[in-house]
Parts: sequence; structure tokens; C-alpha cells
Amino acid sequence: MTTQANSISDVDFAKIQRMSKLDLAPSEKVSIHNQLDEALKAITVFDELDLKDVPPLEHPGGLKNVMREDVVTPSFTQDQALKNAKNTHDGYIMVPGVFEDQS
Amino acid sequence: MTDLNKLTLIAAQDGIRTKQFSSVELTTSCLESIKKQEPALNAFTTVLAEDALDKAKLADVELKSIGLNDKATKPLLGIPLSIKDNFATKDQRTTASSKVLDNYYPPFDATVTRRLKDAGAIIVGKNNMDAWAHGSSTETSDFGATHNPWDTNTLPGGSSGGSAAAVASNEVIAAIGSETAGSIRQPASWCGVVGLKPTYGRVSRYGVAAMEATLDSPGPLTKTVSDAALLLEILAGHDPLDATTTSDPVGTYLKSLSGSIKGLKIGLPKEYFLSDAQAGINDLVKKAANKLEELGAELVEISLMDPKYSIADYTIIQRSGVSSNLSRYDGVRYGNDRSFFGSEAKRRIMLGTYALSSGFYDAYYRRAQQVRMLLRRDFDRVFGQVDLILAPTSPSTALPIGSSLNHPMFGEIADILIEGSSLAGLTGINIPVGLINGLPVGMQLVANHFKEQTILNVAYSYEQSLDWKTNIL
Repeated sequence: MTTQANSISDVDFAKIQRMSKLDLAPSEKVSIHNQLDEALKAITVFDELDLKDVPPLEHPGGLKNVMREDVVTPSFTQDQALKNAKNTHDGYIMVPGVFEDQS
Repeated sequence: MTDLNKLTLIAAQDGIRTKQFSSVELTTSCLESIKKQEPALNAFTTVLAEDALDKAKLADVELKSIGLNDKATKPLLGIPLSIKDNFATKDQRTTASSKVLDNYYPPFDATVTRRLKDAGAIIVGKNNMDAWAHGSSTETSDFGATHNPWDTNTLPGGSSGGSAAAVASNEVIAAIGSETAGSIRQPASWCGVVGLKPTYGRVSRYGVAAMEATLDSPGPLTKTVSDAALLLEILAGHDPLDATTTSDPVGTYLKSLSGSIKGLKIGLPKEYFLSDAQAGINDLVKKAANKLEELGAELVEISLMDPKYSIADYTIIQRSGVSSNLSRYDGVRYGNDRSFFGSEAKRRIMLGTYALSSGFYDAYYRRAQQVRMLLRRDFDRVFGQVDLILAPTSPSTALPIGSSLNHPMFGEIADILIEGSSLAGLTGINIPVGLINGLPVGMQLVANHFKEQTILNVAYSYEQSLDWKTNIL
């Protein structure tokens, strides 16, 4: 099912913002929303092309499923892997909580 | 010897091997040039002066054991180069010109970085770029715009604008950039240097901050065609860490450089000589084509799909890649959190997320992939008639600082003549052909997959035939 719009609804804009995990200031919301609508108008030229029976091009060289042996090779030490993390504890990376506070 | 920084890569290699000067002298010359010019240019995010001099001293010791005529062992030994800041450099700051990675020190080298180091190169610094390579101006960098050395009131182009400006101003002997659609060729055009975009899959993407996984192609920005040929030999080749790299053998690009282009068929696509291009661009590029005809090539008028389709197609494919690739930046394992993204990145993430989202995927992303197939087929058809395609690289010379701001499609317009060939995965090169009002004009030569030697040969034969800087309109 093909859905093509020339503008993005406020509901869809809020949805993609949530999926993008971005905080946007109110003024930024307006400007980005306008710019997205402008970008969508620019791609209406696709309508001029006959795409019936044209397969999608997924890789410019036509490569598919390149396989290799699964071999263990030297990798980072724990120190190296943790070096750039802001919050660590006992050799682990501390991550933000993902569950609601149960207390 | 003075002005060692102005040497070409081939001349620097020759001088250093025959002991006319040392790596310390050459590296010092570049570092002094950087120190003097950086306040005006801002072509670097990080300069590694101390480390570069230490490595130069070691290179000088190692050079003593290498024969005067041996150019095969560590071909770049002791030669100062710079790398775009989206390539990981082990334990050295790598930002992609974004505040998200302001203090990121990768624990590994990109494959391109490693190949340069293995060849003996001295990395003098990391080049400024559009943040995340999103742009064609280098003024979306979170660390300030790079300025064009030809006129510091103008932009260098982008996203590899820092690399192009560093080469054009002789801050370095040569530099490495990356292209998704125009990011090597367009800044090379605006800065008057050679910029080679290899075929997708010819050079490894491992360790390059990803923009669009089926487009990104690292490549050299250099002072001459021979320099580009030498660097491509070092950069190219299969990499187990990037499954999309080809196992096809790497050419002996430098040794095989030939000035003979007799009988080669060069296609001039009429749709690429835009009627609204800046006055003089089409004339200078056609003049260059006529020069190639004099040198033995045959010019053929061809027709390609209107570049307006490439712009639209690239917009969707690229934004979708950005949305996917930038989703990894969460500030947990490294870097800062997502509030540090600039407005350009946010805009691109949002459009890409929309194009990939359920309900809209078929209308946008899948259709864009179908259009991409049409573009590819269009080029296939043309390469049945001609060996390569010749066109202007950019519809204008360098634009004033500030031109890209508040123009969400600035890059797409600046790269209108490049996007089609990138989407098809082709190889292309920019070479300077003349000056308009003191600013360089570039011509691009595009050939089919893995035909780097063909475009290098044609570019070389043109370059040898005249001094492009005297070609003034």
C-alpha cells in the first residue's frame, strides 16, 4: 500500500520525533516541520517515472550475503572498551534506566 | 630548501628517498604552514604537531635503511598527510566535526588510517568537515566553518572541505576525504585540487563514521593526478572488516598512468550542462573537452536522466541512511547524548525516520530504491556507447560564506551533477580546468565500476597538456 503525502501531519511529526529520540525546541519543531514538507514536495518528481516492474536497487555492485568464517580474533581489552564511557562501575558501563520507577 | 610543504606527493616521496631533505624538515614545513594559515582557514579540528614530529624523527631513522631507488617499501614513509575527521584514528580525537563526539578517542584505527600508517605516512592532523559529513559547505561543522584559501570570504565546499582547503593551501602534501555524493569532488572543484571518488567497494569504509552505508567511498584529495593514483593504490583493496569491499585486484594505477587517450570515447551529457549554471562554467568545461579531443579522444553527445531525479532520490536514500546510522549515538558507550546533535543532523534524522517508518516506507524508501535502479540502468546504457562521461563538477564556483545557512537543499543543488553517479556506485574524479574571477572551476570524469585507471589516464593527459591556472575566462 502506497501512502504519499505532500505534508506531514502533526501526529506523524510527533511520532517520528519520538522514534528519532530527539528533543526539539518549539521553534525548532516549526522550522524542521516546514523543511520536511519542503523536502517532500521536492520528491514529487518520482511521479513522472514509470516504476512498474522496476526492482529496488539495494547495493550498487549487486553484492548479496557475503559470508566469512566465524573466527575469534584479538579485540579490545576491557579498559579500552570502557575508556570512552562517561559512567562506569566495576568494569561495566552504566546505562540509563529503561523501566518505569517501581518505588 | 624552502617551501617543502608545496611539494606534490610524488616529489616529496622522491626528495625524501634520495635524502634531499628529511621527514623532520618536510613535516616541520607543513606544521609551520598550518600554524600560519589556520587562523584564516580553520581546515583542521585537531593538529597533532608533537606526535607528527616524533613520528617524523622515527621515519628519518627508518629511511636510512631504505635504498635510494626503493619506492615500494613503505611508499609514504615520512610524508605528512591529513585525514578527514570522520576516520577513526587510534587514541587521537575523532569528532566527525560534531559536538556529540567532542571528546571521543577511538580505541582503533579505521582501515584507511591503518593503511596510511602501514605505508609510513605522518598524520599531522584531522580535517574539518560538515558535521557528520552532512553538507557541501563545511560551514555546518560544530567547530566553525572552513574558509576557501582562494578567497577566505568563500566556502571550500564539502563535506571534505577541510581536506580540500588543506591541500590547496599547501598545509599538507595530500589529504584523505570521503564521499557519499559529492563530498570529495565538489570541494576539490571549489578549492582547485584533484579529488578522486573511487568505485563504491574499492576502498574500505571500516572506521569511518557512517552516513549512508551503500554510498560512502573514501578517497584522496591531492595536488596532482599522479598523487591521487599513488594514494589509491595504498588505500584500495579487500578488507575483511568491510564485507562490501571487492576482492578484485588493485590496479598499478601510478605505473599504468598513460598520457595516451587515443580512441577513447568521452560522452558529454547534455542534461549536465545546466542552462542556469554560473556563466562561464559550461564554456570552460567544454574547452577542456575540446582539448581532450585534440589529444586523441572522441567526443560523443549523450543523454542521461535529468539530474532532478538524482536530487530527489539522493534526498530520500541519504536521509534514511542517516536516520539509521545516527541512531547508535546514545552517549552511553562513548560521546555525548543526542541533545548535542546540530540542527542539520536533526533535520536529516527526522526525514529519514519518516521515509523508513511503517506506512510510508513503500512510498518513499522503496520507491527511491527503484529510482536508483533506473539511474543505474541509465548509466549502464550510456557505458555501452562511451568509455567515460565528462561534465562540470559543480554548477558554480565557491559561494560566499553563509550561503548554505537556512537552505535545507543547499547540498543537493551544489552536488546536482554528482549525485547520479554516486547512487550508481561509479567512480569519478574532479580536476581543475580554469578560473573565473580568481576562483577555480572543476571538471568531473566519471567511469563505470572499477574503471579508475580510465579516468586517471584522461585526467592525467589533460593535466599534462596545460597549466590550468592560466586558463582564465
